[in-house]
Amino acid sequence: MPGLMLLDAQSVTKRFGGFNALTKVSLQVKEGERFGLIGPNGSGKTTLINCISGALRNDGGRIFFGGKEITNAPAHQRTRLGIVRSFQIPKPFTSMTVLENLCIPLEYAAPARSHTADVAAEAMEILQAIGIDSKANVLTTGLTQIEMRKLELARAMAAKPKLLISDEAMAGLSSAEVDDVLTILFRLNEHGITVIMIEHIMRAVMRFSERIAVLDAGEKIAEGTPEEIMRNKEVERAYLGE
Amino acid sequence: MKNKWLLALAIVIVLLGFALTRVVKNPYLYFASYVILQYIVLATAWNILGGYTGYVNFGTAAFFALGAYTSIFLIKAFAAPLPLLILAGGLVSGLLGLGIGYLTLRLRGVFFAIATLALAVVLQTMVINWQYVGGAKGINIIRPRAVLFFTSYVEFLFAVMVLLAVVAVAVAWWIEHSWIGRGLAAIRDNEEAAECMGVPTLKLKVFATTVSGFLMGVAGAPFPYYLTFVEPSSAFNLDYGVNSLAMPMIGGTTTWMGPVIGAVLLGTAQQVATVTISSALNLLIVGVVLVGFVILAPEGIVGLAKRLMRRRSA
Repeated sequence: MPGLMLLDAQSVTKRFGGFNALTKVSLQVKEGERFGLIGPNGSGKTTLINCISGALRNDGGRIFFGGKEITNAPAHQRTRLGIVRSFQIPKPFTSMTVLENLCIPLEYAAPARSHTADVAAEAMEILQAIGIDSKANVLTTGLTQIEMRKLELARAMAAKPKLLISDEAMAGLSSAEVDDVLTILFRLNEHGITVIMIEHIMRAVMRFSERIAVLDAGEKIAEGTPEEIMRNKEVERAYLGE
Repeated sequence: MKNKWLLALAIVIVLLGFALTRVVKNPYLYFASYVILQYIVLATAWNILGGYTGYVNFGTAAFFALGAYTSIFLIKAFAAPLPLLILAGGLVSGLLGLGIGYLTLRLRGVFFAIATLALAVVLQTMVINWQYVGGAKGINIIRPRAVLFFTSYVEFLFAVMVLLAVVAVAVAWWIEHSWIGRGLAAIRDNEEAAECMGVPTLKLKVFATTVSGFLMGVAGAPFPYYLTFVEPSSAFNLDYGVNSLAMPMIGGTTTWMGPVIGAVLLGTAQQVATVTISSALNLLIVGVVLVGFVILAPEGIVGLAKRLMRRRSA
Protein backbone atom coordinates (compact mmCIF):
# COMPACT_ATOMS: atom_id res chain seq x y z
CA MET A 1 0.00 0.00 0.00
CA PRO A 2 2.18 2.86 -1.17
CA GLY A 3 1.36 6.25 0.26
CA LEU A 4 0.29 4.87 3.61
CA MET A 5 1.85 6.53 6.67
CA LEU A 6 4.32 4.11 8.16
CA LEU A 7 5.73 6.41 10.80
CA ASP A 8 3.69 9.18 12.32
CA ALA A 9 5.41 11.19 15.05
CA GLN A 10 3.13 13.88 16.41
CA SER A 11 4.59 16.95 18.13
CA VAL A 12 7.37 15.06 19.88
CA THR A 13 8.94 17.03 22.71
CA LYS A 14 12.04 16.05 24.67
CA ARG A 15 13.64 17.99 27.51
CA PHE A 16 16.96 17.34 29.23
CA GLY A 17 16.66 19.28 32.48
CA GLY A 18 15.97 22.83 31.41
CA PHE A 19 17.15 22.28 27.86
CA ASN A 20 14.57 21.69 25.16
CA ALA A 21 16.22 19.19 22.84
CA LEU A 22 13.06 18.78 20.75
CA THR A 23 10.08 21.13 20.62
CA LYS A 24 6.91 19.77 19.05
CA VAL A 25 8.58 18.06 16.13
CA SER A 26 6.20 16.19 13.84
CA LEU A 27 7.40 13.75 11.24
CA GLN A 28 5.41 11.66 8.79
CA VAL A 29 7.14 9.05 6.69
CA LYS A 30 5.30 7.11 4.01
CA GLU A 31 5.75 3.42 3.39
CA GLY A 32 8.57 2.79 0.94
CA GLU A 33 9.85 6.32 1.14
CA ARG A 34 13.46 7.51 1.24
CA PHE A 35 13.47 10.23 3.82
CA GLY A 36 16.35 12.53 4.74
CA LEU A 37 16.80 14.18 8.12
CA ILE A 38 19.34 16.97 8.26
CA GLY A 39 20.31 19.85 10.50
CA PRO A 40 23.37 21.46 12.06
CA ASN A 41 25.22 19.72 14.91
CA GLY A 42 23.17 19.66 18.09
CA SER A 43 19.90 20.34 16.30
CA GLY A 44 18.26 17.24 17.78
CA LYS A 45 18.44 14.71 14.94
CA THR A 46 19.82 11.88 17.03
CA THR A 47 17.51 12.75 19.93
CA LEU A 48 14.53 12.46 17.60
CA ILE A 49 15.80 9.10 16.36
CA ASN A 50 16.30 7.96 19.95
CA CYS A 51 12.69 8.89 20.73
CA ILE A 52 11.40 7.06 17.66
CA SER A 53 13.48 3.93 18.26
CA GLY A 54 12.72 3.91 21.97
CA ALA A 55 16.19 4.54 23.41
CA LEU A 56 14.68 7.68 24.96
CA ARG A 57 11.10 8.38 26.03
CA ASN A 58 9.63 11.59 24.72
CA ASP A 59 8.15 13.99 27.30
CA GLY A 60 5.36 15.14 25.01
CA GLY A 61 3.66 14.04 21.82
CA ARG A 62 2.75 10.64 20.47
CA ILE A 63 4.37 8.24 18.04
CA PHE A 64 2.53 5.81 15.76
CA PHE A 65 4.03 3.07 13.65
CA GLY A 66 1.93 1.28 11.05
CA GLY A 67 -1.17 2.78 12.65
CA LYS A 68 -0.29 1.44 16.09
CA GLU A 69 0.69 3.69 18.98
CA ILE A 70 4.21 2.93 20.25
CA THR A 71 4.81 5.98 22.44
CA ASN A 72 5.40 3.85 25.52
CA ALA A 73 6.75 0.65 23.97
CA PRO A 74 10.26 -0.42 25.02
CA ALA A 75 12.95 -0.31 22.35
CA HIS A 76 13.19 -4.06 21.74
CA GLN A 77 9.47 -4.24 21.00
CA ARG A 78 9.74 -1.41 18.50
CA THR A 79 12.56 -3.33 16.85
CA ARG A 80 10.32 -6.38 16.59
CA LEU A 81 7.59 -4.22 15.05
CA GLY A 82 10.09 -3.18 12.41
CA ILE A 83 11.83 0.03 13.52
CA VAL A 84 15.53 -0.69 13.32
CA ARG A 85 18.33 1.82 13.66
CA SER A 86 22.02 1.76 13.05
CA PHE A 87 24.29 3.72 15.35
CA GLN A 88 26.32 6.79 14.53
CA ILE A 89 29.28 5.27 16.36
CA PRO A 90 29.19 1.55 15.52
CA LYS A 91 28.31 -0.58 18.54
CA PRO A 92 29.25 -4.14 17.57
CA PHE A 93 29.08 -7.09 19.97
CA THR A 94 32.80 -7.29 20.51
CA SER A 95 33.10 -10.80 21.90
CA MET A 96 31.37 -12.26 18.85
CA THR A 97 32.37 -12.86 15.27
CA VAL A 98 30.79 -10.83 12.48
CA LEU A 99 28.45 -13.72 11.71
CA GLU A 100 27.40 -14.12 15.35
CA ASN A 101 26.67 -10.40 15.49
CA LEU A 102 23.95 -10.98 12.91
CA CYS A 103 22.56 -14.02 14.65
CA ILE A 104 21.41 -11.93 17.62
CA PRO A 105 18.85 -9.85 15.67
CA LEU A 106 17.93 -12.85 13.50
CA GLU A 107 17.10 -14.77 16.64
CA TYR A 108 15.57 -11.98 18.69
CA ALA A 109 14.15 -9.36 16.38
CA ALA A 110 13.10 -10.82 13.05
CA PRO A 111 9.29 -11.21 13.01
CA ALA A 112 9.48 -14.89 12.05
CA ARG A 113 12.08 -15.41 14.72
CA SER A 114 12.66 -18.73 16.32
CA HIS A 115 15.37 -19.87 18.67
CA THR A 116 15.96 -23.13 16.88
CA ALA A 117 16.12 -22.24 13.20
CA ASP A 118 19.45 -22.22 11.45
CA VAL A 119 20.09 -18.51 11.57
CA ALA A 120 23.73 -18.82 10.58
CA ALA A 121 22.90 -19.57 6.94
CA GLU A 122 20.59 -16.60 6.79
CA ALA A 123 23.21 -14.38 8.42
CA MET A 124 25.68 -15.47 5.77
CA GLU A 125 23.27 -14.48 2.99
CA ILE A 126 22.97 -10.99 4.45
CA LEU A 127 26.74 -10.67 4.76
CA GLN A 128 27.06 -11.67 1.10
CA ALA A 129 24.48 -9.09 0.08
CA ILE A 130 26.36 -6.37 1.95
CA GLY A 131 29.72 -7.67 0.74
CA ILE A 132 31.54 -8.50 3.98
CA ASP A 133 31.07 -12.27 3.87
CA SER A 134 34.84 -12.75 3.71
CA LYS A 135 34.97 -11.43 7.30
CA ALA A 136 32.22 -13.69 8.63
CA ASN A 137 34.38 -15.53 11.13
CA VAL A 138 36.51 -12.60 12.23
CA LEU A 139 36.02 -10.88 15.59
CA THR A 140 34.64 -7.37 15.16
CA THR A 141 37.79 -5.89 16.66
CA GLY A 142 39.62 -6.83 13.45
CA LEU A 143 37.40 -4.75 11.15
CA THR A 144 38.25 -1.55 9.33
CA GLN A 145 36.07 1.55 9.62
CA ILE A 146 34.10 0.88 6.42
CA GLU A 147 33.64 -2.79 7.33
CA MET A 148 32.37 -1.71 10.74
CA ARG A 149 29.78 0.55 9.06
CA LYS A 150 28.72 -2.27 6.78
CA LEU A 151 28.42 -4.62 9.74
CA GLU A 152 26.21 -2.03 11.43
CA LEU A 153 23.95 -2.01 8.34
CA ALA A 154 24.06 -5.78 7.96
CA ARG A 155 23.05 -6.25 11.57
CA ALA A 156 20.20 -3.80 11.11
CA MET A 157 19.09 -5.77 8.03
CA ALA A 158 19.16 -8.99 10.02
CA ALA A 159 16.48 -7.49 12.27
CA LYS A 160 14.20 -7.49 9.19
CA PRO A 161 13.22 -3.83 9.37
CA LYS A 162 10.20 -2.16 7.82
CA LEU A 163 11.79 1.17 8.66
CA LEU A 164 15.56 1.49 8.69
CA ILE A 165 17.00 4.53 10.41
CA SER A 166 20.56 5.08 9.31
CA ASP A 167 22.28 7.45 11.72
CA GLU A 168 25.28 8.97 9.94
CA ALA A 169 26.37 5.69 8.41
CA MET A 170 28.78 7.55 6.14
CA ALA A 171 30.54 9.95 8.46
CA GLY A 172 34.29 9.74 7.99
CA LEU A 173 34.19 7.57 4.88
CA SER A 174 35.93 8.31 1.59
CA SER A 175 33.76 9.32 -1.35
CA ALA A 176 34.04 5.88 -2.97
CA GLU A 177 32.98 4.31 0.30
CA VAL A 178 30.07 6.73 0.59
CA ASP A 179 28.87 5.54 -2.84
CA ASP A 180 29.26 1.99 -1.62
CA VAL A 181 26.97 2.57 1.36
CA LEU A 182 24.52 4.58 -0.76
CA THR A 183 24.21 1.66 -3.16
CA ILE A 184 23.37 -0.63 -0.27
CA LEU A 185 20.71 1.74 1.05
CA PHE A 186 19.17 2.17 -2.42
CA ARG A 187 19.00 -1.58 -2.81
CA LEU A 188 17.34 -2.02 0.58
CA ASN A 189 14.77 0.56 -0.42
CA GLU A 190 14.08 -1.28 -3.66
CA HIS A 191 13.23 -4.29 -1.53
CA GLY A 192 10.49 -2.28 0.11
CA ILE A 193 12.27 -1.02 3.20
CA THR A 194 11.50 2.55 4.19
CA VAL A 195 14.68 4.45 5.00
CA ILE A 196 15.31 7.51 7.13
CA MET A 197 18.79 8.80 6.52
CA ILE A 198 20.50 11.16 8.90
CA GLU A 199 23.55 12.56 7.25
CA HIS A 200 25.89 15.53 7.07
CA ILE A 201 27.19 14.62 3.63
CA MET A 202 24.82 16.74 1.54
CA ARG A 203 25.75 15.14 -1.76
CA ALA A 204 24.55 11.81 -0.38
CA VAL A 205 21.35 13.05 1.28
CA MET A 206 20.27 15.11 -1.70
CA ARG A 207 20.82 12.21 -4.07
CA PHE A 208 19.16 9.68 -1.85
CA SER A 209 16.14 11.39 -0.37
CA GLU A 210 12.73 11.88 -1.90
CA ARG A 211 11.77 14.14 0.96
CA ILE A 212 13.88 15.95 3.53
CA ALA A 213 13.12 17.48 6.91
CA VAL A 214 15.43 20.04 8.47
CA LEU A 215 15.89 20.42 12.21
CA ASP A 216 17.44 23.42 13.89
CA ALA A 217 17.72 23.91 17.66
CA GLY A 218 15.15 21.23 18.30
CA GLU A 219 12.53 22.53 15.90
CA LYS A 220 11.57 21.49 12.41
CA ILE A 221 12.21 24.50 10.20
CA ALA A 222 11.56 23.04 6.78
CA GLU A 223 10.33 20.00 4.92
CA GLY A 224 10.14 19.22 1.24
CA THR A 225 11.87 17.78 -1.79
CA PRO A 226 15.67 18.19 -2.02
CA GLU A 227 15.19 21.05 -4.54
CA GLU A 228 12.84 22.90 -2.23
CA ILE A 229 15.19 22.46 0.71
CA MET A 230 18.15 23.78 -1.25
CA ARG A 231 16.22 26.93 -2.17
CA ASN A 232 14.89 27.45 1.36
CA LYS A 233 16.18 30.68 2.92
CA GLU A 234 15.65 29.53 6.47
CA VAL A 235 17.70 26.39 5.94
CA GLU A 236 20.49 28.48 4.51
CA ARG A 237 20.33 30.73 7.56
CA ALA A 238 20.44 27.77 9.94
CA TYR A 239 23.55 26.38 8.29
CA LEU A 240 25.43 29.52 7.40
CA GLY A 241 24.07 32.19 9.76
CA GLU A 242 22.84 35.63 8.75
CA MET B 1 25.35 -36.29 21.14
CA LYS B 2 27.75 -34.12 23.13
CA ASN B 3 24.90 -33.24 25.46
CA LYS B 4 24.31 -36.88 26.29
CA TRP B 5 27.96 -37.40 27.14
CA LEU B 6 27.95 -34.39 29.42
CA LEU B 7 24.79 -35.59 31.13
CA ALA B 8 26.39 -39.00 31.63
CA LEU B 9 29.50 -37.32 33.02
CA ALA B 10 27.37 -35.35 35.47
CA ILE B 11 25.66 -38.49 36.74
CA VAL B 12 29.00 -40.30 37.01
CA ILE B 13 30.44 -37.45 39.09
CA VAL B 14 27.50 -37.54 41.50
CA LEU B 15 27.80 -41.34 41.82
CA LEU B 16 31.57 -41.10 42.30
CA GLY B 17 31.04 -38.56 45.07
CA PHE B 18 28.63 -40.95 46.73
CA ALA B 19 30.97 -43.91 46.24
CA LEU B 20 33.87 -41.99 47.74
CA THR B 21 32.03 -41.78 51.07
CA ARG B 22 31.92 -45.60 51.09
CA VAL B 23 35.65 -45.93 50.68
CA VAL B 24 37.52 -43.05 52.25
CA LYS B 25 36.89 -42.29 55.92
CA ASN B 26 39.14 -39.29 56.56
CA PRO B 27 36.75 -36.57 57.81
CA TYR B 28 39.13 -33.75 56.91
CA LEU B 29 38.87 -34.69 53.24
CA TYR B 30 35.13 -34.08 53.28
CA PHE B 31 35.46 -30.98 55.40
CA ALA B 32 37.89 -29.43 52.89
CA SER B 33 36.17 -30.71 49.75
CA TYR B 34 32.86 -29.28 50.93
CA VAL B 35 34.35 -25.79 50.86
CA ILE B 36 35.73 -26.25 47.36
CA LEU B 37 32.43 -27.64 46.08
CA GLN B 38 30.58 -24.77 47.72
CA TYR B 39 32.86 -22.42 45.81
CA ILE B 40 32.11 -24.19 42.55
CA VAL B 41 28.45 -23.34 43.14
CA LEU B 42 29.19 -19.75 44.20
CA ALA B 43 31.67 -19.05 41.40
CA THR B 44 29.34 -20.57 38.80
CA ALA B 45 26.43 -18.53 40.14
CA TRP B 46 28.52 -15.36 40.14
CA ASN B 47 29.62 -16.01 36.59
CA ILE B 48 26.06 -16.19 35.25
CA LEU B 49 25.67 -12.53 36.14
CA GLY B 50 29.28 -11.33 36.13
CA GLY B 51 30.75 -13.34 33.26
CA TYR B 52 27.81 -13.91 30.92
CA THR B 53 25.92 -10.67 31.50
CA GLY B 54 28.72 -8.32 32.52
CA TYR B 55 27.31 -7.07 35.81
CA VAL B 56 29.88 -7.36 38.60
CA ASN B 57 28.42 -8.48 41.91
CA PHE B 58 30.48 -7.81 45.03
CA GLY B 59 27.69 -8.97 47.30
CA THR B 60 27.91 -12.75 46.95
CA ALA B 61 28.12 -12.91 50.76
CA ALA B 62 24.66 -11.33 51.03
CA PHE B 63 23.02 -14.02 48.89
CA PHE B 64 25.04 -16.81 50.50
CA ALA B 65 24.26 -15.65 54.04
CA LEU B 66 20.61 -15.13 53.20
CA GLY B 67 20.47 -18.79 52.20
CA ALA B 68 22.22 -19.78 55.42
CA TYR B 69 19.97 -17.65 57.63
CA THR B 70 16.84 -18.83 55.87
CA SER B 71 17.95 -22.32 56.86
CA ILE B 72 18.59 -21.27 60.45
CA PHE B 73 15.14 -19.72 60.67
CA LEU B 74 13.44 -22.79 59.23
CA ILE B 75 15.43 -25.17 61.43
CA LYS B 76 14.49 -23.20 64.55
CA ALA B 77 10.89 -22.62 63.61
CA PHE B 78 9.91 -25.91 61.95
CA ALA B 79 12.91 -28.25 62.18
CA ALA B 80 12.65 -28.42 58.40
CA PRO B 81 14.58 -31.14 56.51
CA LEU B 82 17.65 -30.32 54.39
CA PRO B 83 16.08 -30.58 50.90
CA LEU B 84 13.45 -28.08 51.96
CA LEU B 85 16.13 -25.80 53.42
CA ILE B 86 18.05 -25.82 50.16
CA LEU B 87 14.94 -25.02 48.15
CA ALA B 88 13.84 -22.28 50.55
CA GLY B 89 17.32 -20.75 50.73
CA GLY B 90 17.44 -20.66 46.96
CA LEU B 91 14.01 -19.10 46.65
CA VAL B 92 14.65 -16.35 49.21
CA SER B 93 18.02 -15.43 47.68
CA GLY B 94 16.48 -15.70 44.22
CA LEU B 95 13.88 -13.17 45.31
CA LEU B 96 16.64 -10.85 46.46
CA GLY B 97 18.26 -11.39 43.05
CA LEU B 98 15.00 -10.44 41.38
CA GLY B 99 15.03 -7.14 43.26
CA ILE B 100 18.66 -6.54 42.33
CA GLY B 101 17.70 -7.18 38.71
CA TYR B 102 15.50 -4.11 38.70
CA LEU B 103 18.40 -2.08 40.11
CA THR B 104 20.17 -2.61 36.79
CA LEU B 105 17.61 -0.29 35.24
CA ARG B 106 19.39 2.64 36.85
CA LEU B 107 22.75 1.34 37.99
CA ARG B 108 25.45 0.10 35.65
CA GLY B 109 29.13 -0.66 35.83
CA VAL B 110 30.87 0.32 39.01
CA PHE B 111 27.69 1.77 40.55
CA PHE B 112 25.96 -1.58 40.36
CA ALA B 113 28.99 -3.22 41.99
CA ILE B 114 28.94 -0.70 44.84
CA ALA B 115 25.21 -1.23 45.36
CA THR B 116 25.70 -4.99 45.74
CA LEU B 117 28.48 -4.41 48.26
CA ALA B 118 26.19 -2.07 50.21
CA LEU B 119 23.47 -4.70 50.09
CA ALA B 120 25.71 -7.15 51.96
CA VAL B 121 26.45 -4.55 54.65
CA VAL B 122 22.78 -3.66 55.10
CA LEU B 123 21.68 -7.30 55.33
CA GLN B 124 24.44 -8.11 57.80
CA THR B 125 23.33 -5.23 60.03
CA MET B 126 19.77 -6.51 59.94
CA VAL B 127 20.82 -10.04 60.88
CA ILE B 128 23.04 -8.75 63.69
CA ASN B 129 19.94 -7.15 65.19
CA TRP B 130 17.69 -10.15 64.71
CA GLN B 131 17.91 -12.10 67.96
CA TYR B 132 15.74 -15.01 66.83
CA VAL B 133 18.50 -16.25 64.51
CA GLY B 134 21.25 -15.55 67.00
CA GLY B 135 21.98 -11.87 66.44
CA ALA B 136 25.58 -10.73 66.75
CA LYS B 137 26.68 -13.52 69.08
CA GLY B 138 25.75 -16.26 66.62
CA ILE B 139 23.77 -19.43 66.98
CA ASN B 140 24.46 -23.12 67.54
CA ILE B 141 22.76 -25.55 65.21
CA ILE B 142 22.51 -29.21 66.15
CA ARG B 143 22.96 -31.60 63.26
CA PRO B 144 20.37 -34.28 62.74
CA ARG B 145 21.49 -37.81 63.41
CA ALA B 146 23.38 -39.48 60.59
CA VAL B 147 21.33 -39.97 57.47
CA LEU B 148 20.35 -43.20 55.78
CA PHE B 149 23.23 -44.66 53.72
CA PHE B 150 25.78 -42.37 55.38
CA THR B 151 27.92 -43.07 58.40
CA SER B 152 28.60 -39.43 59.24
CA TYR B 153 26.74 -36.21 58.59
CA VAL B 154 29.77 -34.49 57.03
CA GLU B 155 29.94 -37.25 54.42
CA PHE B 156 26.27 -36.69 53.72
CA LEU B 157 26.79 -32.93 53.35
CA PHE B 158 29.69 -33.62 51.02
CA ALA B 159 27.51 -35.81 48.79
CA VAL B 160 24.78 -33.14 48.80
CA MET B 161 27.29 -30.50 47.77
CA VAL B 162 28.57 -32.68 44.93
CA LEU B 163 25.01 -32.86 43.66
CA LEU B 164 24.46 -29.10 44.05
CA ALA B 165 27.72 -28.30 42.26
CA VAL B 166 26.78 -30.53 39.35
CA VAL B 167 23.32 -28.96 39.16
CA ALA B 168 24.76 -25.43 39.27
CA VAL B 169 27.24 -26.18 36.50
CA ALA B 170 24.48 -27.84 34.44
CA VAL B 171 22.33 -24.72 34.78
CA ALA B 172 25.24 -22.54 33.66
CA TRP B 173 25.93 -24.89 30.75
CA TRP B 174 22.32 -24.75 29.65
CA ILE B 175 22.16 -20.95 29.85
CA GLU B 176 25.43 -20.61 27.95
CA HIS B 177 24.24 -22.81 25.08
CA SER B 178 20.72 -21.45 24.81
CA TRP B 179 19.28 -18.34 23.21
CA ILE B 180 19.28 -16.80 26.68
CA GLY B 181 23.05 -17.06 26.88
CA ARG B 182 23.47 -15.43 23.48
CA GLY B 183 21.19 -12.59 24.57
CA LEU B 184 23.15 -12.16 27.80
CA ALA B 185 26.40 -12.01 25.82
CA ALA B 186 24.91 -9.27 23.64
CA ILE B 187 23.98 -7.32 26.79
CA ARG B 188 27.51 -7.73 28.13
CA ASP B 189 29.04 -6.51 24.88
CA ASN B 190 26.74 -3.56 24.36
CA GLU B 191 23.49 -3.20 26.20
CA GLU B 192 22.11 -0.38 24.05
CA ALA B 193 22.80 -2.21 20.81
CA ALA B 194 21.33 -5.42 22.27
CA GLU B 195 18.06 -3.68 23.12
CA CYS B 196 17.94 -2.15 19.64
CA MET B 197 18.47 -5.59 18.09
CA GLY B 198 15.36 -6.91 19.80
CA VAL B 199 16.90 -8.39 22.94
CA PRO B 200 14.56 -7.84 25.91
CA THR B 201 17.44 -6.64 28.06
CA LEU B 202 15.56 -5.99 31.29
CA LYS B 203 13.85 -9.37 31.24
CA LEU B 204 17.11 -11.21 30.59
CA LYS B 205 19.04 -9.24 33.21
CA VAL B 206 16.38 -9.98 35.81
CA PHE B 207 16.53 -13.63 34.81
CA ALA B 208 20.32 -13.64 35.30
CA THR B 209 20.23 -11.93 38.69
CA THR B 210 17.46 -14.24 39.90
CA VAL B 211 19.15 -17.47 38.82
CA SER B 212 22.50 -16.26 40.13
CA GLY B 213 20.94 -15.31 43.47
CA PHE B 214 19.04 -18.59 43.65
CA LEU B 215 22.20 -20.67 43.23
CA MET B 216 24.10 -18.60 45.80
CA GLY B 217 21.27 -19.14 48.29
CA VAL B 218 21.36 -22.85 47.52
CA ALA B 219 25.09 -22.88 48.32
CA GLY B 220 24.43 -21.15 51.63
CA ALA B 221 21.51 -23.27 52.79
CA PRO B 222 23.48 -26.32 54.10
CA PHE B 223 26.09 -24.02 55.68
CA PRO B 224 24.59 -24.01 59.24
CA TYR B 225 24.78 -27.82 59.35
CA TYR B 226 28.30 -27.74 58.02
CA LEU B 227 29.73 -25.44 60.69
CA THR B 228 27.05 -26.08 63.38
CA PHE B 229 27.79 -22.57 64.61
CA VAL B 230 26.88 -19.54 62.50
CA GLU B 231 27.57 -15.91 63.28
CA PRO B 232 27.03 -12.93 60.96
CA SER B 233 30.73 -12.23 60.52
CA SER B 234 31.36 -15.73 59.17
CA ALA B 235 28.25 -16.01 56.99
CA PHE B 236 28.70 -12.50 55.56
CA ASN B 237 32.47 -12.86 55.24
CA LEU B 238 34.03 -10.73 52.53
CA ASP B 239 35.91 -13.85 51.40
CA TYR B 240 32.78 -15.07 49.65
CA GLY B 241 32.48 -11.92 47.58
CA VAL B 242 36.18 -11.82 46.69
CA ASN B 243 36.60 -15.54 46.02
CA SER B 244 33.50 -16.01 43.90
CA LEU B 245 34.68 -13.10 41.75
CA ALA B 246 38.32 -14.18 41.60
CA MET B 247 37.64 -17.81 40.71
CA PRO B 248 35.79 -17.15 37.43
CA MET B 249 38.29 -14.42 36.57
CA ILE B 250 41.16 -16.88 36.98
CA GLY B 251 39.41 -19.76 35.24
CA GLY B 252 37.81 -17.68 32.49
CA THR B 253 34.45 -15.92 32.53
CA THR B 254 32.99 -16.80 29.15
CA THR B 255 32.43 -20.53 29.65
CA TRP B 256 30.96 -22.77 32.32
CA MET B 257 34.33 -24.45 32.71
CA GLY B 258 36.10 -21.30 33.88
CA PRO B 259 34.51 -20.97 37.33
CA VAL B 260 34.93 -24.71 37.93
CA ILE B 261 38.64 -24.62 37.10
CA GLY B 262 39.13 -21.45 39.12
CA ALA B 263 37.25 -22.81 42.13
CA VAL B 264 39.13 -26.08 42.13
CA LEU B 265 42.57 -24.48 41.76
CA LEU B 266 42.11 -21.54 44.07
CA GLY B 267 39.95 -23.45 46.54
CA THR B 268 42.52 -26.23 46.80
CA ALA B 269 45.39 -23.77 47.17
CA GLN B 270 43.52 -22.04 49.98
CA GLN B 271 42.77 -25.29 51.78
CA VAL B 272 46.40 -26.40 51.51
CA ALA B 273 47.63 -23.02 52.72
CA THR B 274 45.22 -23.09 55.66
CA VAL B 275 46.63 -26.38 56.84
CA THR B 276 50.30 -25.89 56.06
CA ILE B 277 50.87 -22.18 56.69
CA SER B 278 48.00 -20.17 58.13
CA SER B 279 44.35 -19.43 57.48
CA ALA B 280 45.11 -15.72 57.24
CA LEU B 281 47.04 -16.35 54.04
CA ASN B 282 43.91 -17.15 52.03
CA LEU B 283 43.03 -13.69 50.77
CA LEU B 284 46.68 -12.89 50.11
CA ILE B 285 46.89 -15.89 47.76
CA VAL B 286 43.72 -14.80 45.98
CA GLY B 287 45.00 -11.25 45.64
CA VAL B 288 48.38 -12.19 44.22
CA VAL B 289 46.99 -14.77 41.80
CA LEU B 290 44.22 -12.44 40.64
CA VAL B 291 46.62 -9.58 39.97
CA GLY B 292 48.83 -11.95 38.03
CA PHE B 293 45.96 -13.18 35.90
CA VAL B 294 44.45 -9.78 35.24
CA ILE B 295 47.84 -8.63 33.89
CA LEU B 296 49.09 -11.76 32.13
CA ALA B 297 45.95 -13.68 31.12
CA PRO B 298 42.87 -11.47 31.34
CA GLU B 299 40.78 -14.16 29.65
CA GLY B 300 41.62 -16.67 32.36
CA ILE B 301 42.91 -20.19 32.02
CA VAL B 302 40.25 -21.20 29.50
CA GLY B 303 41.04 -18.17 27.34
CA LEU B 304 44.75 -18.88 27.60
CA ALA B 305 44.29 -22.51 26.59
CA LYS B 306 42.13 -21.52 23.62
CA ARG B 307 44.74 -19.05 22.45
CA LEU B 308 47.50 -21.64 22.69
CA MET B 309 45.44 -24.20 20.77
CA ARG B 310 44.67 -21.68 18.06
CA ARG B 311 48.36 -20.88 17.72
CA ARG B 312 49.26 -24.54 17.42
CA SER B 313 46.65 -25.21 14.74
CA ALA B 314 47.64 -22.06 12.83
